[in-house]
Parts: sequence; C-alpha cells; structure tokens
Amino acid sequence: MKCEKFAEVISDLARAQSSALVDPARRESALSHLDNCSACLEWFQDERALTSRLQAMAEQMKSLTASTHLEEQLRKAFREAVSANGVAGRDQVIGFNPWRLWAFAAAVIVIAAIVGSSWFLTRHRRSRNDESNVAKTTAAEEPSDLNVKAVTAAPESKETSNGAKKQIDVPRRTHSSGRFRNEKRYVPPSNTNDIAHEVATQFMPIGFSGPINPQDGGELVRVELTRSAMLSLGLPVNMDRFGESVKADVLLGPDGFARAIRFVQ
Amino acid sequence: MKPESQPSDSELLQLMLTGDEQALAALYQRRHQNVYRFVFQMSGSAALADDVTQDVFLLLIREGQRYDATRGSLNNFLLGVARNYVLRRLRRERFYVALTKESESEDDPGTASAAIGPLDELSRSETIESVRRAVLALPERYREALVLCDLEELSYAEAAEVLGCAIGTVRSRLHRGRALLIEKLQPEREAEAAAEASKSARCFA
Repeated sequence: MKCEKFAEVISDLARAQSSALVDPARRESALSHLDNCSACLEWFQDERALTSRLQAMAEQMKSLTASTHLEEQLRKAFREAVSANGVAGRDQVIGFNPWRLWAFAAAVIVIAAIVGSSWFLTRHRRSRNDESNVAKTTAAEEPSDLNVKAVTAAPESKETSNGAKKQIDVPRRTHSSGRFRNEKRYVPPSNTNDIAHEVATQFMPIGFSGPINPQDGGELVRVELTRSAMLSLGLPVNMDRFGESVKADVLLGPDGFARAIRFVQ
Repeated sequence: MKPESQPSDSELLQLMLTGDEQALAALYQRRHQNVYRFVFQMSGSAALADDVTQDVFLLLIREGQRYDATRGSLNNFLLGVARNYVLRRLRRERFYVALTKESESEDDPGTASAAIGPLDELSRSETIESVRRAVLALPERYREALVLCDLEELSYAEAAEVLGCAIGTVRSRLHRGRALLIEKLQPEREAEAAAEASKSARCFA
C-alpha cells in the first residue's frame, strides 16, 4: 500500500476498535505499510492519540444531562397541548396556526380593498366618460331598425326639437374593456311637439358599404338638403318645389361615412 | 422466561400523540441525553443545550406527526432537528461574547474517579478541556461530523441521515475535521511531551 492509499483509511483505522470499519485485508496491508513509512507511522500515532482523547471526552460527557426542571416544563406544555387540541401533535394535522389565520385575514382585507378601489375608480371613470359623451353626442337613433319608421308623437320619442341630442340605445365599444355595452345617453329635457307630426321615409342605403350591422353603432344626423338630392336616389320630386330644401336624417357609421338616409317631412 | 419487551421509539411517539403523558416521559428519558449532549458538544453552552433540548421536544409534542419512520430512526430525527436549531442559534449569537466561562462539565461529579490520583485527574481534565476547546474551534461542518461520529458514536449512515448528506460527504468531513483537530492540538502535545521529559529528568537527577 502507498501513502496515498493509506491516507484514505487512516481515520477509519485509527477509530476502529474492531475491524468493522476497514476490511481485514486492507487493514493488514495498511498496518504493514506502517513498518516501512515513518511519516505515516507518526501520523497514525497522532490519529490514535486523538481518538483516545476524544473517547475520554465522550466518556466524560456521557453523564451530561439537561436541567431537571425541563421535563416538568415539557409535561406542562404537553398537558396544555392535549387540553387545547384533544391530542398532541394535532397542530400539524389540521394545519392550524394562529399566524396563518391572521395572515389569511390580512390577505382577504387587502384583496377586498384592491377590488373595491378598482371598482370605484372604474365607475367614476365611466360616469365621467358618459358626461363627456353627452356633450359630444349629436342626434342619433336606434340603427337597428332601418325599415319604415314614422316618427310619431309618442312620449318615448327620441328626437329632440332641434334634432341635435337624443337618447339612444347604441351598442358602443368602451375604452376600458373593449366590450360592447348598451348605454343610455343623457337626454336633456326638450320639447317634442315639433317632431310630433313628422313623417319619414324608409332608410335608403348609400354607397356599397354592405349591410349595416346594428352592433356597429352609429349616429343619426339631421341635415337639410335641396330636393334635387332626392332625384339622385330615384325619388319623385315635385318640380314646383324643386329649389326648396328638405330635411333628412343621415345615418353615419362608426367610421364617419354615411350609410343610409331617410327624408323627413 | 421471556423478558418484557420495551416499546420502540415510534410506538412511544404514537402513544404520546394520542395524549399519553407517560409515553412522553419515557421518550424524554430515553432520548433527551443524546440531544442535550450533541447540542452541548456543538455549542459548549449548557444553557443553549437546555434551550434547544426543550425546543426539540416541544416540536415533537406539537408537530410529532412530521416524523416519518420510513426515513430513519426517531433518534436521528431528533438530532437532525437539534442540529437545525443549534446552528440557527449559533449563527444568531456568534456576535455575542460570553462574559463568564461556562464550566459545567468540570463540575460534573460523574467525571471524578477515585482510582486516579488528583494530579492525574487534573491533567486529564485539562487535556479534555483542551480537546473540547479545539472541537468548538472547528468549522461547523467538520464539527458536526466529528461530534456525531466520534463523540456520539453514530455510524456514517446514521450521521448522513442526521446531516442530510451523502455518506461519502460525512467521511470526508470527518477526515478533514480530525486533521484540523490534530493540527490544533499539536502545540499542546509538544508541551505535554516537554513536560513529561522534564519530569523524567527530575526523577533521574
């Protein structure tokens, strides 16, 4: 055996009271190496001396024991645990921990505060948007019904006296969520007597923009045109009143282009 | 006549978890010395050893269900818990310096032997004290391997279970720890040898 190999087993050899730690063949080989190597022999003697010192220390400490009052304190803690939980060690089983309970309660409060404040802010922002929309809104009407629509005198009539502002159920895309929602626009109090006797034609599509989807929304704008404009749509015109103007409602799409028109009398 | 068999640690623990106080007492009597000694040898402080021993058994009372018998013996489990506690305490308290030197082990009546003379006893106590100081001066990783294997006489496998590492790691740490210990004790050995030589010279003068 060489010194490197001997170094691998020296601790086991020095510690071993029996041959349990080192197999007999290796032990014999290591011990025979000591006859030829004085450095390893000295090292081995140091290791043996250390082992005997450690054994003496361990022997002295064999009788060490904890304070006598410790057992009584543990018994007391045990009784308290049993009276509190029925059996000991249950804390772990049911996962009960007062700190966990407090942490959970605090987490619930924080989450509720966050949700509540975000809901409040959303509502506040929405109401502000609504108010600003009212200021911008021009005459608009339900775009889903493009058939004949006689605007009769009715309490729920949606046109105002000057045709500028109306209440309309228009699906609109909101900025915050990107989803459509029906919103009731604000209608200022107005006199509806002027529109009580109006008669309107059907909506006539303009251009080649395809069918109008009510979900797209839109705005209805009251305009005045010369009667000659009716000719371009193939409508009969009284040539005696050719130069007069006529009222019309133009339905504007979300892109701002005119989609349909109806004439009002 | 068949001797009455003692209940195993696991059986005592199960009894304890059902509320049997006597089982706790039996378990404590059987295992508390191992825990206490290990902590004392790791820290050199009897007060800390008391504290940690109490904490270990309190954990057993409150969270005894944690112990899994398939992963090792209860003794190793307790030593593992004690190791975690003592290392935590040592790291927390390493900035504090003891004002008085604790010497509980020296006061222990069990260490005195009537067969040995008072001078020999004094010399032996000094030697053991020097070894104890040298052990305490070792880095933690080597100290715990040395305490478990050389002082508590655990096997490599059991020590690996307590330390949560491989058997080879325990072997190498023990080997390195013993080498460091020999280095630390070398000056004292030389002083002892010199004293022995002068004593012999006086005898032959």
